[in-house]
Amino acid sequence: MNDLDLVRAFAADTAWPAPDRLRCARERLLTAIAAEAAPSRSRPGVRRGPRPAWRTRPGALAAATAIALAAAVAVVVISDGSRTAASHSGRGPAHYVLAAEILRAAAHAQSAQPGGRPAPAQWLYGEAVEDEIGQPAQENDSWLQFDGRQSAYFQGGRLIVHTSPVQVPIGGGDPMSAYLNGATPMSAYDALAALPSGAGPLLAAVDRAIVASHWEPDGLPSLAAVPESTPRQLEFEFLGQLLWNASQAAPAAAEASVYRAMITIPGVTAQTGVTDAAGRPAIALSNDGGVFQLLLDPTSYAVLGLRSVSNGSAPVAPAGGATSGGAPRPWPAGTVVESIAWADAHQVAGPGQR
Amino acid sequence: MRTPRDSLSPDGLTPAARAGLDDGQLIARSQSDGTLFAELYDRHAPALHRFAARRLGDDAADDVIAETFLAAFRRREHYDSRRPDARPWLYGIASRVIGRHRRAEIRRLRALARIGVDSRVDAGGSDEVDEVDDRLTASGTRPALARALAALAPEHRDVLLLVAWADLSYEEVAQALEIRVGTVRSRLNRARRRVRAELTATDPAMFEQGAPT
Repeated sequence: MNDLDLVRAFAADTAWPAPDRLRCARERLLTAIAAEAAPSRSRPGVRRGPRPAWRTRPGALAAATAIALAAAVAVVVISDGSRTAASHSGRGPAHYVLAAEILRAAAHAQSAQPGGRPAPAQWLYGEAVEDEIGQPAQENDSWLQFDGRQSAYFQGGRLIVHTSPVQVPIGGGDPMSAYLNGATPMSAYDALAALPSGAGPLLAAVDRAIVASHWEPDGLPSLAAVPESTPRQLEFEFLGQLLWNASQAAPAAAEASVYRAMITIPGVTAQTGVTDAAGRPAIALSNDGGVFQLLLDPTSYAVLGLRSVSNGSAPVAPAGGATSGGAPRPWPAGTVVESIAWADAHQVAGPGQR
Repeated sequence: MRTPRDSLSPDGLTPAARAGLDDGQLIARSQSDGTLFAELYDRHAPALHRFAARRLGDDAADDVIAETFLAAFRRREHYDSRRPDARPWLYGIASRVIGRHRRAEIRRLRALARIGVDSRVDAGGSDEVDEVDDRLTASGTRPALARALAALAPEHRDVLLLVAWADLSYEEVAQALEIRVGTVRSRLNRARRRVRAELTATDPAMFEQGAPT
């Protein structure tokens, strides 16, 4: 008996799935097949799919990012390639100066927002647009309670409402631990609110969370192919993903603190004149040369979305991508590999309402 | 391993004709008749679900399977139809989906490390596996294994479990994860070293010659 045999025997008593378990996923697949065969009712070039953008399941990490990207599909979007088009006088490379200015403006804008904490049972509506290279764009309507307890989506014209069982609190009431163990809009809100306000302590808290949880960006599947991030890149990506997960409702003061802290992270750059997955103008912030990007509205500085862009060496083709007949190859530099945005997101009185 | 299948949807082919198509042919033909993709689901969903359930539990596995096949269906035009076995492709997609549940997986393994047993229903594995499983329980090795798996780097765990639980060859794992075969070998070696270290710390005599097997 060697170590591999022991691993093989570990959990080998896991049951084969009962037909009922397989039927649900099969029905979702058949719905997708039927939707592909039927004429699209969405805007040209965009396919509305049956998969919910948000959905929580018992025991599953329900990061809004991850959920919104699960089984993502989408349209080819080629980067305009323009980096930091605005030219600024001042110290250092223009894009660093621009990034600092944008982050300062974002902090100022957010500090003026009301940013109240919704009730746990508050329903949030979101229309996600997801683009993945080589795929038709997809829009998904979904509803999620602020605490993630219930989620809803339409399937075949019928509103499906999921209820997750009550989770045992993890982390002894620590908001960051709760967020890391199960991201919901509420846990993201609370994790943001619990961050220190000063840039140094805030980043130190982020570093502790990253180390304690072995955190790595998981919002954009294509990033799985990117070489390991540096600690500074991880700080930016962690905060970017936290802002995205809290984009439905965020504590304004804490959000402003995050932007101020981002100013102090070495290497953060900004790219203007880009568009998000919904086609809106955006500013792209990054700390890895533009591979992982947090997209902000250029006027309100609200979080619009996330995207990953090839730098010529990463990301490589996502699973099932341009790999047939040979080794995976990176997309040309500047290619937008994945992009996700909320085309619409706001609080509603109940599931099914827009 | 063959498993029970649901009834097949009408697609213009008899069940026998569908059964005669390999995965590559099936996926290629599903370009014009999407309903054929349901056959791919029927072939592979049970094993993929069990793989996911082994890692995340049944409820999360339901989601993983749905997301995996939806993603596969939408990407099927990229599948190289010369490959008759779609398992590496499907396990690759599933591994990415599972990766998004990584913290849940670690949480589950840590729970197993604490209590040593899982609450799953015994589904009746092979006699050989059952025998080893009994020894795991008897020797208290299961918590150490759970600890070791939880401590692995995600990319190392993916490789180890694709080899050990999905029975993929090194080449198939490389294809699934879109990495080189050499990378598969090195990740597997590292994962196994870590597992051995954890188990040896629990029972220094475990891998000595003459130890009970």
